[in-house]
Amino acid sequence: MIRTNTLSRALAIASLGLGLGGCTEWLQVTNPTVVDVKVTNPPEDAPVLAASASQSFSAAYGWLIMYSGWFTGESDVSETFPTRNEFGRRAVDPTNTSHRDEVWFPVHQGIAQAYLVLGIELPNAASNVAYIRSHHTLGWAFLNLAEQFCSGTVVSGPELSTAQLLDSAVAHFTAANTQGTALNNAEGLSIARAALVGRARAHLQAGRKPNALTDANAVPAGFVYNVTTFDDLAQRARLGNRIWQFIADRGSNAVPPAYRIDDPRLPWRIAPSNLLPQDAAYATQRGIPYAIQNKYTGFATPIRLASKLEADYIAAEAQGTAAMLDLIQARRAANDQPAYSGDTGDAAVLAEFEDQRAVEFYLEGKRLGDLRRNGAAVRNVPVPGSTYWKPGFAPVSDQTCFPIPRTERDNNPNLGPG
Amino acid sequence: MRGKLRWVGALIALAAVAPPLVGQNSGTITGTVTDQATGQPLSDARISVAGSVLQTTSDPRGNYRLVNVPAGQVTLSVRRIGYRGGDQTVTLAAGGTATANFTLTASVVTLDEVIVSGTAGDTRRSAQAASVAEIGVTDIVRTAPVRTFAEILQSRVPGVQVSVGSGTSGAASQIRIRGNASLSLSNEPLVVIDGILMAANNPSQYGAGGQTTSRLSELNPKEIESIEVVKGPAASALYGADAAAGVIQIITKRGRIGNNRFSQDIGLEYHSIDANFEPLDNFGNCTPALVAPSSPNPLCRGQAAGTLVSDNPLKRTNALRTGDTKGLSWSGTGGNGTNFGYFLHGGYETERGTTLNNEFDRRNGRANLNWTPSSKLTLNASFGMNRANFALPQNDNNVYGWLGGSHLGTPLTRNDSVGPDRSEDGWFGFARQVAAIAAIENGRQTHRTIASFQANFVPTSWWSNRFTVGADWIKDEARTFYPRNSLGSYQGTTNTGAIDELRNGEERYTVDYLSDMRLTTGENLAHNLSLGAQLVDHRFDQISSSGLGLAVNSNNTIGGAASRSASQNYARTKSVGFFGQWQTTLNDRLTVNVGARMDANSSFGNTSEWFFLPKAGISYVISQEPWWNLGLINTFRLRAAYGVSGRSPSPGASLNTLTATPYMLGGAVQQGAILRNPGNDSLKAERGEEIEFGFDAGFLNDRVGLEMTYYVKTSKDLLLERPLPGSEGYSFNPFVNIGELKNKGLEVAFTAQPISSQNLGWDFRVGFSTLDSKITDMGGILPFGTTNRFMEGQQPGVFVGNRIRSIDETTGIVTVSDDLEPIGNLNPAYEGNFSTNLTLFRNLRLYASLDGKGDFYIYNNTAFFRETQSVRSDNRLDPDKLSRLERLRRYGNPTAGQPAFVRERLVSGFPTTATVNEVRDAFVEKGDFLKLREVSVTYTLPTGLASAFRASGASITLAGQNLATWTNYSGFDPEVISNIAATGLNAFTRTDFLTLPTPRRFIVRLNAQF
Repeated sequence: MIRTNTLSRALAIASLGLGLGGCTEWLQVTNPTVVDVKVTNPPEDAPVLAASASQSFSAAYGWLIMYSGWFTGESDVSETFPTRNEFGRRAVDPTNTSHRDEVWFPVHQGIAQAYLVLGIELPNAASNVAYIRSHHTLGWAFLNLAEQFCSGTVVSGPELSTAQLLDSAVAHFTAANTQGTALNNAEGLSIARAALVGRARAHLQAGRKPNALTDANAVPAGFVYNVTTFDDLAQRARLGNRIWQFIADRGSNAVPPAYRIDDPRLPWRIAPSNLLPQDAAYATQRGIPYAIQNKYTGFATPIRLASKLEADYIAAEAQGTAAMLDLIQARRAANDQPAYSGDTGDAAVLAEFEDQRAVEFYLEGKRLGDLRRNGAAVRNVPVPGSTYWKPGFAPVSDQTCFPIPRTERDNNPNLGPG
Repeated sequence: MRGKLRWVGALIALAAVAPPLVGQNSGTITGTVTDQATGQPLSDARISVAGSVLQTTSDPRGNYRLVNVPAGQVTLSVRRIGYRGGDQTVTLAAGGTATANFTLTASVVTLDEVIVSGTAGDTRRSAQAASVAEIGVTDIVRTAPVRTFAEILQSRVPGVQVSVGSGTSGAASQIRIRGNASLSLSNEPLVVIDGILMAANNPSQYGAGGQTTSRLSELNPKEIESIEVVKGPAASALYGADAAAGVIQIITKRGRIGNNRFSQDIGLEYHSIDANFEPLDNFGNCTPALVAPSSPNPLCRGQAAGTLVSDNPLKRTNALRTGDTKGLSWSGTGGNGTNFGYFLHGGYETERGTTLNNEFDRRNGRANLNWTPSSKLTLNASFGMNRANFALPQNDNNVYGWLGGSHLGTPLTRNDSVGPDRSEDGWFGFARQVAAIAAIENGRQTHRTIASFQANFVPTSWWSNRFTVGADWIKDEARTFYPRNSLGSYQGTTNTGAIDELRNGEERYTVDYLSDMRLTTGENLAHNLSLGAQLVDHRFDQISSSGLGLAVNSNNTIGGAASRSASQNYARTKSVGFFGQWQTTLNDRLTVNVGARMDANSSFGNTSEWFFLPKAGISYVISQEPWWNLGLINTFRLRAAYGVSGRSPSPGASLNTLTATPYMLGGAVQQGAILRNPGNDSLKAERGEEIEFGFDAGFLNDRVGLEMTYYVKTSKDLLLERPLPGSEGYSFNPFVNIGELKNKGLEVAFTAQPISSQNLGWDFRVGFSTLDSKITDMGGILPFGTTNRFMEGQQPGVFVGNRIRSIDETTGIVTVSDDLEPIGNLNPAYEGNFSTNLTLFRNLRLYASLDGKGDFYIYNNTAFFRETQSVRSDNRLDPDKLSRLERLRRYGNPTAGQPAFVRERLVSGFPTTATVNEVRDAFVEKGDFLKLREVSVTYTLPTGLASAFRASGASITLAGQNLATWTNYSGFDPEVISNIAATGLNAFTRTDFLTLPTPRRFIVRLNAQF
């Protein structure tokens, strides 16, 4: 009986103990898998956040090149994914999840974070590297949205027209250029010059040729700004060369017939036996062997973002037919190509000029901007109404830009149904 | 470790203070339990001594023995599933032996049976206000063709919906109780085994295209005595916030206290598994190049250009096989003849699926020990171990899949010039035929131990205490392996040899205490006060690594790879709950209870929120009133219950977080961070309210039973991972509390035993349930989702599309709705099942079950893909196969330059267009079906014949599973879900995409008792 009572009391006390004190403390857990924003120090961490935003755009840049390359005929879609074949047919549906997840979202990942950094009050605002990086990121992001999408939006904002997107790009490039110059170190100056190229391109796209010419001429000779890449198995999606990844890991990009030319600026090769198209029927259906580009040859091959060469092309286009013809001849000669001997009328020169741009900036994400700017002068683009080269698909459509994804319209209260 | 040792010490101490055996003031009661109609002995009947913890079960001969029973007037109770209980009072002299034999009458209405789950106080079914279903597993595993836990649940309890993922051996099924209770949190029920929580989720492992495995499949049903399903509001009060989706309680088999006879049960079984489908033919029109004499294509060579040819890679290569299962089990039951009993089990099963790299092996061991040191204390220890191996083939949405490889291939790539290994040869991938697909490994091996200890202490006749402590320890080793090859069978660098390795460590500890105090006031009024507390601590740690580039395939470890990467994931959650219930019973027939639970957990990161979860219920066995005289209706009970549940998301869900991720700067890689989740400071728990009404009725002396329950289950402040627009830049969607989801339904179980005589027995059961599930308030969130959509007034995940308004056969113009409109239900609005047993001459038992589901849709993405994307189907390629009207419906306007579909809305006077991706009317199909699920014949050998093999009993069962399906669905199987591995909002889908249908099984099973 004594033992029974003792046990009863022990159980009662244990029950009470469970009910009182210590519960809330006991429930505290940590989650080391994530970074709680509260533990960061925004002023101190801003440069890192800004560099991370830049990297997000760099990762998105590879996707922008790939999808716009399929759309403009720079690449064949040598894979079976229907959502990617929509690009080959210029018929991109707003419900296309590949484009939403691989282009729209990565671009905005960089944009949103760059805006976050710009919202942090930092010292030396006129030359703070965090601001410079953020403006630079935003400049390129806005420019690419303007060139590739029919309209855009940022951070759940209202719908922005192409002109508005280009104006935003110009504003951020201007800030990056001014503040980068003020910082006056290697990174600052490099960004400042790249921003000049970007701003020139934005002005050209907007039809402001004098402004484009001024900026293009201000770019120093020999300037090149690359998106650097790195081969790390765990981070290939973020740090690696995306175009190569989609050749090496997936076999999604083939060089189309029109680009299989003999020009050192556009290296390509018949794919070796260890690199196969994801769509096993590619060669059968296309009627040619599977060929891959040889410009990017590994996960660590850099991708050119801005250059004096591009500035030269912008300047020539801004000046008109004569300047374009001069540049055409110069570039052909420099690359062992016979001199241009065709029609020297405006339309013919512009078409040849675009052909040279196509070769010069092959798979650099510029072709869709060219198409929207110069229309029919841009050749070798899938022709609306023509039969898609893969049997069973609907004919090529007539899109010239990408729609805003359906889920953006569904969830952004400031956008209409489109 | 020190913490664990403390627990062990506490348990030993508890055992040490237990009162000693009573000895001189006690005696022994023995007896036999038999069936009233047949006179056959009844095993597994539970005999208990009122006012004490003493209890035991009858052995296969119906015998039982209870020792150390306090002398004097002793009331014994006997309970068995499917029989009306009985009570008997005997007088027991000190040191003497008394006999109490029981003859039980089969009954389909058993209000006096004891319910373990969701109950406190008076645990008889007659006192329970909420619906608790019980499944006697022992009988099912002996006679029905079941192997997994999900198959036991399939179509046996109205309101429990089991959806089979696919026909892949070892693949998971989806279990829902009364529909989906939440949009973003898990809708899988909480599973409790012997009083402790166990992991029942689909574990983390590498994807196989949509299928995954289930923790529940690791359990061996042969170790289970019964399963209780708590569907309604009773669940949360005892099991806490996580029980909102219902509770399944597994009760494993026990030893027989008092019985000193050791009995063994040996089982052998063999299944033959038939793939149960005819692979689809692929079609293609020969090109001019392919018809040339030099063409490598044997189908087109010599044909006219444009000839439609076909191929069937799976059939041509005979790649599917007849699968099989081989199983061996042994169990031993016994005791020391006085106060100790045990149940031991060992089982081994190995299964080969119908595809070459599909296997599922399971080894289980269990030791359950019961010790009754005195009539006031019982100690139960339950210890189960298993090792399970799952090898899943790539299938479903997967370019390495068997069905994808075959059904997306084209006859135009047939090639007899270079050998099949050097071309696609009709398959989907280059050099990816049978050998290459079969060489892909994707598996999980799990080692698991579930241990629990339970002490029942009854210090006085009015106070009982139950203390349970236990743990579920899991170690997973998951792996994928793509062998290095020179043919280029896989994609890109994968051909250099690729490995992924994943290690999960998971621990879940449960401590549970429940105390019941019984008080009688007056002659007719009894009260029970129950108090309890529960702690749960869950820890999950995952390390994953990948390797690419192998020197040789035999050196297929991460260390042997040229490039390597690693990652880690860690989570911990804790919860605590306190429970109280007051129950009052009048005249042993009217029971009213009120109770509440306070719960808190660590899910909100730094903020712990306490939920208050009240409940109330009433049960009235009106047929026990003296004035009851309704002739045919001899049993009638009314019941109603109300309860509240509350659930919270994963740890840290409210926090604004970043993800650490690298960036390049100046040629160097540095660690940075990007936006992850904006969090939500005002996040609160999702609250569920459930109310149910029902009755249980017994007719014709309980030979016919009818149970009906109507429920309304409302989830408020729904936790939704609100889809952010991509322009916000966050990689994870934040939880927000929105609106309301309401599920309503009727559950009916009709059971009858028309014939019960010595040589003929027949019983049958009809179950039926409805589910009316609707989002009643989106809380201001706009509708979202493209194939399955979330919108007010519709079932969550309702199928949508731009609906066809008109088809002009002359012009080819197909007009569709402007926006996405509902097509039909994702989940069946009703389900039904019928099962029956016919017993002839005691020894021959025939069993069959039919079940069906109705008013739901399934997206036939296999057809959609083969007809509109990678075109392989003769529906599309043979212009004469379908009518023009049907072709327009499926593919839209074929006229060059014309849009496939036009919307009703005009913009600037012109119609806007829609694509075939948005108009899926022809491919979202009605999935209604009826299946002949199980048929079996069991012959029990006469005792004389069994004894010739030195056995006390033996039986042989021949059975079939999935023998026939009646449906209008055009795919293989309307029951499959191709992406069953999906969680949260993504789980609201029912797609058949290159999914293996459920197979047909034929089973031979031998059981012998010694």
